[in-house]
Amino acid sequence: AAVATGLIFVVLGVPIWWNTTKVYRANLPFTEIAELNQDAGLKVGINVNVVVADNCDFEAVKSKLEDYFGNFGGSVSAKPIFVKYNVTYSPKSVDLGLEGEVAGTIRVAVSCGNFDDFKINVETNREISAQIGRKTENLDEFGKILVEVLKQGVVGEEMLEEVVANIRKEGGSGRKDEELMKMVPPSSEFEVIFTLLCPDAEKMTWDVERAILEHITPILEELKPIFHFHISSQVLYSTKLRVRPKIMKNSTTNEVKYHYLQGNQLSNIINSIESRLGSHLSTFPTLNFVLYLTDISNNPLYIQKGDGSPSKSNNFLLPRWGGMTIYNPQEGAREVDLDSVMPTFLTNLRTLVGLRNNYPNIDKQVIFKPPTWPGITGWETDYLLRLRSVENVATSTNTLGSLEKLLHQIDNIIINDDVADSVFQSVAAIVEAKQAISVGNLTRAMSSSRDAFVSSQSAFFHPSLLELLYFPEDQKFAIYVPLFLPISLPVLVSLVFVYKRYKNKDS
Amino acid sequence: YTTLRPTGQPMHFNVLLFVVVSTVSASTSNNDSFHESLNIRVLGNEQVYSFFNFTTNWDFENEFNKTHYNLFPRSIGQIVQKYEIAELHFTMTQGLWRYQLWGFPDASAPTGAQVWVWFKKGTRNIDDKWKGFTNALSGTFCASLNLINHEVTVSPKVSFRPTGVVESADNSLLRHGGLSRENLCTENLTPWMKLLPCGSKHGPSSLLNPSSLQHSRYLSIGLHYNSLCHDVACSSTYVQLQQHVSVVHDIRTTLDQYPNFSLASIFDRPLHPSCPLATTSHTHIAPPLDVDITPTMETRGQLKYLDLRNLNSPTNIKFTWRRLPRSPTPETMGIGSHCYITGLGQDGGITCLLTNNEHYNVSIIFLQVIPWYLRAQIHTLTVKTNTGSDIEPTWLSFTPAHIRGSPHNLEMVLSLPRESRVTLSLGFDRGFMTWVTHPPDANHGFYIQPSMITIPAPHGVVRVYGEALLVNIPVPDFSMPYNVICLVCTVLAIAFGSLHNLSTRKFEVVPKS
Amino acid sequence: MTNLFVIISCGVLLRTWLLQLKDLTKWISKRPEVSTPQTSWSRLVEGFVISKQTGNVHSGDSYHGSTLLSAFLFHLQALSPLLVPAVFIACDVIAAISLHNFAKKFLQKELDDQNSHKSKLSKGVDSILLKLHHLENVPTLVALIYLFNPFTIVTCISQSSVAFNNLFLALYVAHLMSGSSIATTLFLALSTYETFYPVQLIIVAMLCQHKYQKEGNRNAAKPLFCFIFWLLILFLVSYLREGSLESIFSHYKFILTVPDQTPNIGIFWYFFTEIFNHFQTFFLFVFQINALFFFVPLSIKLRSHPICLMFILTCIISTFKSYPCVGDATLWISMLPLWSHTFKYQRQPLIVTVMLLTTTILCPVMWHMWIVAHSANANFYFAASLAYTTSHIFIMTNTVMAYLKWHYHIRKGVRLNLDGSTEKAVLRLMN
Repeated sequence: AAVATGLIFVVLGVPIWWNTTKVYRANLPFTEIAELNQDAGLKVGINVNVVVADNCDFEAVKSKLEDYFGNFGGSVSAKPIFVKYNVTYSPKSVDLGLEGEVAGTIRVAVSCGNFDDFKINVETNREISAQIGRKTENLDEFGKILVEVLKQGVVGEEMLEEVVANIRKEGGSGRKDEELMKMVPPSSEFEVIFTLLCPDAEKMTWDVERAILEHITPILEELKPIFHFHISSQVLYSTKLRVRPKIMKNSTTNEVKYHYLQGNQLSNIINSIESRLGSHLSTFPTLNFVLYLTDISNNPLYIQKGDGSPSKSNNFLLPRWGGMTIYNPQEGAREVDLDSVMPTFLTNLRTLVGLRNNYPNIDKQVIFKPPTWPGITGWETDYLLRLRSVENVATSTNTLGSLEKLLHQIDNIIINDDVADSVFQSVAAIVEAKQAISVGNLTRAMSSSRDAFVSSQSAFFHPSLLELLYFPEDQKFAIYVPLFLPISLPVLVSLVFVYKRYKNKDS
Repeated sequence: YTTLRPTGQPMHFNVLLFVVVSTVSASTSNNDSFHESLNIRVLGNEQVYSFFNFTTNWDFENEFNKTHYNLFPRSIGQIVQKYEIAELHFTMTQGLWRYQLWGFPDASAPTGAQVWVWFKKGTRNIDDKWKGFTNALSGTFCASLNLINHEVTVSPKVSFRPTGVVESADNSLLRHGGLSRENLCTENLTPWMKLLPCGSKHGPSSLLNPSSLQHSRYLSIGLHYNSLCHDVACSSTYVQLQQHVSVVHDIRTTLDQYPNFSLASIFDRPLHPSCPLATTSHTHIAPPLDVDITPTMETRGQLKYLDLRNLNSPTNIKFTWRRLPRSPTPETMGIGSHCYITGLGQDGGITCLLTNNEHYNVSIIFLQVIPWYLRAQIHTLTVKTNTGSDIEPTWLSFTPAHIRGSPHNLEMVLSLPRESRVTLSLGFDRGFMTWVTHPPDANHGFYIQPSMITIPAPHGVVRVYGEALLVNIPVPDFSMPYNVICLVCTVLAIAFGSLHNLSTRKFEVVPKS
Repeated sequence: MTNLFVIISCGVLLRTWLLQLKDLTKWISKRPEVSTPQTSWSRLVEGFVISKQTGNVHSGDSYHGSTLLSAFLFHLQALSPLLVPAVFIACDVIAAISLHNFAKKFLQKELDDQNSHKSKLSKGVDSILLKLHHLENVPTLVALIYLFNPFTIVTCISQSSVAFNNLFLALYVAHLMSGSSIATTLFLALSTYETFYPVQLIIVAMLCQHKYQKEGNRNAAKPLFCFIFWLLILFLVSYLREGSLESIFSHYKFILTVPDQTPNIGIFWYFFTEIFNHFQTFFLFVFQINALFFFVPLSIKLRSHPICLMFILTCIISTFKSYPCVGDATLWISMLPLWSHTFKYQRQPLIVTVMLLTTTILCPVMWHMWIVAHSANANFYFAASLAYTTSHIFIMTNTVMAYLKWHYHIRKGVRLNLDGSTEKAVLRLMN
């Protein structure tokens, strides 16, 4: 009978206890995550296709460029990024004539002419056209400058390094901090809201739908692989400025020339209207583009630049938030002329997304052609794809690393199957993205890195992770002891006696 | 007099209407308009009732999928589109409307918060959408509407009909939730006023001063969204967003000499000229006899009318009594309802006294939602007139509750005999909840949503709400989990020990000591 | 026989008189000690009205009994409202008669057993042996206690469905001795169908079959098969009546998962009101195992005393089931006189009996103070019900211990001597 009791206890009791009270922890690929985090450098591959025209010395150009490219390829320092250039050289006759429209590949078309100095033009698609003069010493200079153009201008190595260093919170020189601050943080979707602020309650119509379609939507279409944008617009009435602008008077006649706002007053404007902007529906970050109409008493109102002159564009950018333009309407006009306002917003959008509006000044022979429609050049798209892919991969790796540390430290956290699925998905996507980045396949890199980012965020912020957090271990003791101690003692004692009797019987 | 909200051409019961598509070339101008109005009514000699109504209409074709907003508030538009809502009604109220003394309000609302929504036909996962919607609404209005969960949500079968144009009026697309515990504060008023195009600077909304509103006897804010047709053929449709405020002030507490009062003395603010964005903006006043109103207004029928667009500067409307008013007599109002809790100890019951003062029988729909922890017993339902005779409901539907799930839902169609008082009583047992299911302040009690009477009327429905009821439930001792575990385990151990001894040991003789 | 008749008619009269006192009846039927969510009459009526609306008597969460019971009672109610109390009174009467018959048969068998084994008995134990006067008085006493036990009376007038459970168990017990396993298992199946716990008593049926049947007619597995057969028939009938498979098991689900924490006289409700969510499933298993699996060691120990086993299992069921009420206790309380010849060996019988009485009176008082007067809190009632449960445990272990001691004494003599010494010795349980 004692044996029977003991058997029930063990056979039924233990599995039931185990099953019903264990904390459900699905399996996670902890080793892979650790590996990813330890992997110090991210390899970025850039494909360059150099096409040399027939009127040039193919071999000379090739050997010179190889020297310069070779100097950069294998630098193994403590940098978080290794950039490797895969350069192919082909004479023009063999050139297949691909117009450089493959994402991730830069085409350099070299031709030789009969002039003294060289020229390097960075076109609006993914092509650099270079012309070299007849003199040989130009080749040296030319090679160096060309590689500089690629490194700083087209690829932006420094920016890549800074982004990754910023995420890992180590390394980094701090030189690019200002640009990093202006960029929006990584996210896969954004809401873009255009707001018209009217100081009084006269109804204003603005043809914002058409203006957005014409000016903004083209660039958003180009950026679709990177971010998904939801656009909407609204009109807010009866919003007066809460700051008092200063008055610039004509020094002789003392009549009012215009009103102006100084730089330090600008941040106070946004505070009063902030609460009416923004969305309650989603957790995606919002980019606000605000157009403020001045009222009659403050007309015309300008923003004063640092040198004391009024700004022509009347626009200021708030990092990671959006941009605001002050518009002075004509006397009695009921329509807002959006065609003059939209290009400035476009510039704001470019900065927020991470593009540069002022190209680096490398040499006087280098000309960067400015973007036309749709507002972004081909190589800038590549630049952004690369930058954001690298950023996504670094962020996802970091997030997964933090999650792994957290889960190891606290045993109590439940790991649902959902969370496990997201983590596995993220790890697979990170590996794929890294591989794609290293060969320079930017479309695949972007989509994989975006997957990785979204999955890692959903795993890290999953609400089920917090369920059992505050149940201390010692209280479990208090729950089990009152019942099982008095029950198990007699059972154990009787089992011991049974065993003894069995042994006595044998002997 | 009773006025119901003037709507476009609402469709009544049994709606199965398909919106006719009219291909109009895409125009870029927003066809939206804004209307505001203020109705003032003096109730007896003690109170004055002000009803503010703000309506925004917006034409649309086919589907309401606009992303560029002008007068219509963007937050509501986005909520409605994201959660596939065809019709939305939301009210928050503080105070009790005394039907017997004051008559019918222009818009009836129960105490606390109430939300009901018709989803579009073909919406999938309606329960998830309902949950997301209540959370979004809770964020928009700073109210704890996210507490509306499956324990307070019902889908009544006949009490609600769409007030606008919907594709399907199947009650599986309807969700109704009520929170009687919700208080109305200035933090709810502020986001509500932000939805108005003019804010609180122009027009009747300039009177809405949060501190004076909090001193009122009854305050109710509401938001209603639906789609309507321009004409009977329904060739073109528009969405309508109505926001209203119903407020009842005591005249006695104003600064002016009683019984004279003015708008400034009640609201502490002057009435500003109309909002320039408004297409129509006016005030209607129903003056009692013996009252002079300054400034002089034109008379339209029995009402005084003032067009706020003609005002140039902030004005004040004064009410002066020519002679002392008589004490108020309760208007013999059409239908009244008074509910209370009965019972002692474990038993309880809800009793509702329904009064019909009309000269004809009135057919009503009665709805009562009781949470699951009060076990309502339908076999104890009795409906009696004051003469003692029983009334048989024409139609009755009772959905019983599930433990920790949906609440009890009682819907009845009754005919109240003329000039009678009907007593409706339903018994319940107080249930017991586990200690984790109790809310933090368990001894406060639990609220039962107010009962609702729906009276079909020629131009819409009239609703009469009862009181919100507060019930105490026996609570366990919250400080005792480990003690309970120890005590029960001790008893079990005693049993186990004795039985184990019994079954595993044999008797032997041992010395006594 | 006439004694029995007198007792029965008095019992019937008493119940009829009490049923006239409507207020008292109403008050008693609301007591949580008497009617539980599973057995309450008002929940049955509620389920009836709901089933008119939704077609299923188990929809919503009010009625938690079995389907056939509700069907039977509805039909009765429909026939005539007076029929239902009459049926409950009849249940009590039939149960009393069955217990009387059972007591008679059992004591007869024990006496025969004792006489046939006279050689094994020791000297000088005549004073404690089973005698003929036991055979005459005890059955009447059993019926008397059953009919006039306040627990039974309140169960009857509150129309709690425990009365049927008691009836089926009494009939089962009566047929245990006769050896007709078909009848025995029928009643056991009926009782298990309504409340799940008596399924343990099948062991008793098998052991009885083994002990009391003649050679050649023994088939210990026969009761098992008959039992399963009857259960299947009952499930089939209820499936045919309900038309769906779900609701015929919904009352088992209710018994086993204990979702409703209405106070009653058992140990489940407050424990599961106060337990943390994380451990709820685990402790649910523990408690149900506690109620269900004691039969294994006990049947090994008491395999030659099946009626004693039946007694103790009934006690365990009525104390540790998920929604007990006082009606569950009446059955085994009325069986106590069967062991009156062993009362000499009980430990502190007075204390335990008084404990039972006191806690029974204390429970309604604490309830009133908690719920109606709001001057106490839930702990008071909980403590009273814990003490009630403990008194049950003491009584049951005392009785069985006394019985086993008596068995020891009649073999070894009334006075115990250690070998070679004249010191007084006592009997202890040792390994």
